Amino acid sequence: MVARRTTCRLPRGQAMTEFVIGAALFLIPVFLLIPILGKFIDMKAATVQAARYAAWERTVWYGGDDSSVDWESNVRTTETIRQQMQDKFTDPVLWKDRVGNSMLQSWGGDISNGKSPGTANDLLGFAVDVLDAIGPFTLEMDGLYSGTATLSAVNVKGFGAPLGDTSNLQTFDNFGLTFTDKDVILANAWNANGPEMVKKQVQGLLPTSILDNVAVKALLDVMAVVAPELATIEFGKIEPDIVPSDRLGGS
Amino acid sequence: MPRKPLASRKQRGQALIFITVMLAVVLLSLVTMYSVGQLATAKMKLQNTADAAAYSGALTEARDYNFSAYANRAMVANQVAVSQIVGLTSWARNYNNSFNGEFSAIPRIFAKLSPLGAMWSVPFKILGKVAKSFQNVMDKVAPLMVKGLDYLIDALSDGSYAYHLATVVNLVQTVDDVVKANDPDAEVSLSPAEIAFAALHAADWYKFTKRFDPTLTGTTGSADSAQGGSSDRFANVTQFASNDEFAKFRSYPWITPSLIDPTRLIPYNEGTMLMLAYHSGGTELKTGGNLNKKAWTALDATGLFVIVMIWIPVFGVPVPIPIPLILPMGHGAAQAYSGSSANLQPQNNFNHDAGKAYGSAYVNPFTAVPAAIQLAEGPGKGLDTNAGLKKYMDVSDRRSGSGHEDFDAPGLVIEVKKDSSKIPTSNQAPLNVGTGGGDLYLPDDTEQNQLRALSKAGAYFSRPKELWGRSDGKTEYGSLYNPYWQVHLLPNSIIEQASSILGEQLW
Repeated sequence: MVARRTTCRLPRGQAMTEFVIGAALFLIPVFLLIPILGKFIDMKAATVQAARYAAWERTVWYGGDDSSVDWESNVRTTETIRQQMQDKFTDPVLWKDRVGNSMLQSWGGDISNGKSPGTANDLLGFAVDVLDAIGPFTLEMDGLYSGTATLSAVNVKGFGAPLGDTSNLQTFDNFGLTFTDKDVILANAWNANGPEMVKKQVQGLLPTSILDNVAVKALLDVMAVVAPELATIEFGKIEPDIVPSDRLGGS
Repeated sequence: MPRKPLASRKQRGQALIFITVMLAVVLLSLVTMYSVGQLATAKMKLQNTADAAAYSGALTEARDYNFSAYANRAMVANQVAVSQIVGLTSWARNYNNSFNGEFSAIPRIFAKLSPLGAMWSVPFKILGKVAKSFQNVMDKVAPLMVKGLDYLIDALSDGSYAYHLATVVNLVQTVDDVVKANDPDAEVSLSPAEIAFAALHAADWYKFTKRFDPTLTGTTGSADSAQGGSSDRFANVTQFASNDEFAKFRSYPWITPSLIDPTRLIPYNEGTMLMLAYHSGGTELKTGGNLNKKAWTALDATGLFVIVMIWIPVFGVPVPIPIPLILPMGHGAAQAYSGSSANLQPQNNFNHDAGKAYGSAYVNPFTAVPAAIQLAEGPGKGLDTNAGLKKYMDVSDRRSGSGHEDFDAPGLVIEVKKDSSKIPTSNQAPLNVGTGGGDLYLPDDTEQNQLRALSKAGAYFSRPKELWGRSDGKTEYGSLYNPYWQVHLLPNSIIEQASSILGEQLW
């Protein structure tokens, strides 16, 4: 009975102890998982958007080292885009654990250029290769750009130890989360970078453009001493700005 | 007494129950958060896939338009090259004929009527040899060159058309490949509404461009004329605007040989005082009837202008009487045509009336006679029977004016879908949480167990002045004469959005 009385008074403290132990072992770790999970979700979303960014950059910057050198204005290298992906999409302020250590272990991005899909492009590609070999005409027969983003999170420590299990998933100590995403887009519409490029391209489709050179011009000028009309021949003449008049509007 | 054990029993469970319930609530919110996070990123990814697919699909159309533009520009340039070779052949035949032809004895006679005759006859002899070999070369080389150029023009004409037709297959293959490359679990949604949008796009795309035949004659009410005189549009760009002066009007006096004898001004010093060859010529694109825009013909003619000085004494005073003579010296012609009736008529020449035809050879008094002789002889054997302007692609929509600077091709609507079962939420293996029903039932509950994303993209023509301004400062509207077609994403219309929301429920 006496013992009963004593035990009878004890439960008040016991409930508190139960609560403290229970909270410390289960509730608090699970509570703490919420922001961690939120940050992982944010990392995954950032990876998805970074991959999109990388691929879509190539819709504007056709590709420097990744593309045909005959296309101008391709000043943005893969390295530049990779750096921009990191600057724009990683969040060093948010991605920290509760102690303040960065949760970001490594970050990687890449862009590769693959062959354009489609049977018609296989056929045209052959013709373009031949034309490219003999003249300045070329078309990008690749242009299927893959932007890849890879994000590795650091191992989250200190969650699993109380569970007494050292297998990877349950301790979280070796819980290496890696998010990766690939965004693929066909870019480079073969549009010209100004009338000079149109002219250059068409030269590749115009055999008489080989006569458009200084030597032939000089010869014609000499012959014009005999017959002046010979100086008016313009071999390889290309007028890249001539369009039907209904295609022109006011200045 | 009985209350105390009861109270103690109650207390013992209190913290445990609280912790258990709390743990369950927090775990469920974690699970929900996990699922929401997965669904949100999956939706983002699916939207990215839809955008990439729509953009890539529209890009195949933009590539087709730009390819046609390069082909058209190259066809124009090669037609110019054909006209140059036809013109140069005609010129070479005329040149040789002037020195070695049926009239070549005449200038020799007049040259002999001057003590300075060597001034004419020496270069006349040398150039005569050059002219002969030049004509030989042209006669051999020109047919091969024109044939080669016409084959190339055919290849450009047929190639651009073939690529245009192949774009239908190309687009489907591209969209499919791009969707699969972005997300192997996603696919193009083929709900009846999306099929209807695809059919609508196909119809719009088909109407947007057209293959024109520049050799057709536009008559009122015909499709050709309804398109704003399509036959003349291509010919204008070719013959009128892109050709060189040599083809349009190559009429000049020849500087060598020529003869000026000032001693004829000395009284009673009679004979040839001046000899000058005047040449007229041009290359014409024939119009009308069977020849319409199918034949390039060239005519060159040379006349000899001579002044012979005669002195007569009038009451003992010497009076000079210069006698001007205009004599035929030479003529030549050439042609490339696809019919058998090519001619050198001063009429029916594109953009040149009878007065301007062939460098005004027929109206120029120096060259009218030899030109008429050549007209009677005809243009000679064709350098190539497969000549003339060939079919080409162009936009059929020719709106211009403000608001059409960015000229839009029809937009392509693409919807992609992904089964919920492919998205790793808590409902899916290996977790399988919240699927059982009851109080802890946490279904993903996506509409029709799918995620769907809608996008739209289209080709547009853009030639911004700050980047690629025209030298004439004008605004250029979209056409398949210039390769400035790009692609952009477009907003989805309310109807497209509603159809996507309803999905297959509609049917």
